Amino acid sequence: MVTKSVKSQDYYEMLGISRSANQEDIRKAYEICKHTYQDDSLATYSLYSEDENRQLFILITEAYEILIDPSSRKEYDSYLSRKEGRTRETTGEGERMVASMIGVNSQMREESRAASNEPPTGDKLAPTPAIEAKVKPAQAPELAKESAARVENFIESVEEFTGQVLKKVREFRGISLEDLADITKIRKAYLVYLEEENFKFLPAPVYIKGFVANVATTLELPAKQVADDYMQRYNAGQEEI
Amino acid sequence: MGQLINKKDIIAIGGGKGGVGKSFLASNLGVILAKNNNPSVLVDADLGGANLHTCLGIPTPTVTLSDFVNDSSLKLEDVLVRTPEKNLMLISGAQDFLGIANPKYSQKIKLLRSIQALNASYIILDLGAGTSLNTLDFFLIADKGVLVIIPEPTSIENAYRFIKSALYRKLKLLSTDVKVKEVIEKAMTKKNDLGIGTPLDLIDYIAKIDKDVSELLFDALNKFRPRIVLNQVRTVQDIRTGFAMQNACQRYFGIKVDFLGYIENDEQVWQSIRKRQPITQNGNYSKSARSLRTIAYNLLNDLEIRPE
Ligand SMILES: Nc1ncnc2c1ncn2[C@@H]1O[C@H](COP(=O)(O)OP(=O)(O)OP(=O)(O)O)[C@@H](O)[C@H]1O
Ligand SMILES: [Mg+2]
Repeated sequence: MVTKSVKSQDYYEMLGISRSANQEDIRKAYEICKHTYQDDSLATYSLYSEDENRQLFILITEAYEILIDPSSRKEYDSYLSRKEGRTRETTGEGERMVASMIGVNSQMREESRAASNEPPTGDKLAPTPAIEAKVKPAQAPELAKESAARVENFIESVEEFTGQVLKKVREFRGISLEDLADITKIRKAYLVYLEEENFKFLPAPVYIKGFVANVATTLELPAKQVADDYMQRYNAGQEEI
Repeated sequence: MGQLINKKDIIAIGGGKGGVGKSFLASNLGVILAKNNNPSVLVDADLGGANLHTCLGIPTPTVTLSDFVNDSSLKLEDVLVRTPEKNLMLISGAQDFLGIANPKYSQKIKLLRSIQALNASYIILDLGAGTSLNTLDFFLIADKGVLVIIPEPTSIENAYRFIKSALYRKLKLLSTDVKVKEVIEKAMTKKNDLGIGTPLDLIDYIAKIDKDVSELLFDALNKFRPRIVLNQVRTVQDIRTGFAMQNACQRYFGIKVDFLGYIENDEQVWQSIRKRQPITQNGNYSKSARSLRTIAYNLLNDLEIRPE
């Protein structure tokens, strides 16, 4: 019980607001979070490392983006009430995901990793590296510039953000799956499923949306558009089944 | 103070860092409460740097806490002294505190018990700087603990250290199991080999040793509710820092912190301190005096300020 209430913060708790918060409350709470987790914030520099701060801010931004949009908030609310209707003993995959999402603490992440079925692609219980954003530096300056232009051209030509597109952009940006997992704190296996659009292995839609937004932000893509596109594909995929 | 008072609140004013305005806030709170017809006692619990009498504009008292500690025939009531404010009494610290700065355990218990038994509506403890065990224990016997913070890195760091030390001490005092106590002790150091970073990690860890104890501690964590007052504020950004700290405490320590209010960096405050007269004493309606009243109001009513 204790463990659960500590680990599974919902989006409202992440922003420190009540479930009945209105748009204005959400916006204010997010403003304070910005001030709390911005680089060299007085309030957090002695508690969290810069990378931890950034991670937290990404997660909180996800929470904000879901809650500020009335339709995604509604979807999330109904997910929450469904979840809360279930018996307390069953720890859903979704919950474990929230744990790994808020888990700035590596031990906690390790635990949730160990508790769920590690897929074959996963680096089995490898010690979690320190929280460090490890984006590979660009090669030569000109080269980097040229390829940057190519990437931007590619992104502009994209009509729909699919799993495959996400993969391509990630590769263009020179970010490995491991790096992305490290930066986003999303398990590598889920990233693979996201890129493959292997929906049945992914958690509840609200989390997927959060993941996609998180990945998009990291890849410097328009988070909302990417998430919307992706969720449309997800919903279409659900209908087929 | 003839009649017996049932409802009594002990309020501790700490903050970790020196010179941030703890005594300034304590003395003004005392004055505000007294003016509102609450028989109150200010206790100078700064064992080592007592100067609360100066803030109130009274000469160095002849009887002090050290008399009480050293003379077992004295009751705490015997060292109460009057202040210019009718409803406000003071228990002064002493100048030469070497003897009492580190009281024996039994002396400390006697002192804490006697404070709790004082006949007053409000008892305000002005704590010293730092996080010595004595200071933490004064903070923990209080019904409400207030941290005075100024928007500067060192003050904020010290405040966090204070919160963490007080919280861990509380958890340790609550647990009887030697193994659990050991874990808490280890968790105090930042680079412990148990992988415990935050109090929430600690409670998770203890859940693996003993679920019931872990629940108990989690409950204590939820009830630990320090208040913060931001002093010497200069910009709007500074005020945001108060809200940001509140936010960070929730996430990092897992505790609810009430932001009671802020006081600007104010020439009038500085002058009142120089004049040795609390700014709230003589119908002062300056901004700072009003802020102090808001803070007192929020403190008594378990309220806080909200972002605009
Ligand atoms: N709001 C304010 N505006 C201007 N000056 C202030 C303000 N608050 C405090 N000060 C200044 O800070 C000084 C220290 O205040 P105070 O003695 O209350 O601090 P303290 O925290 O009790 O210190 P110590 O740790 O030494 O007991 C005061 O003498 C005063 O000059
Ligand atoms: Mg003082």
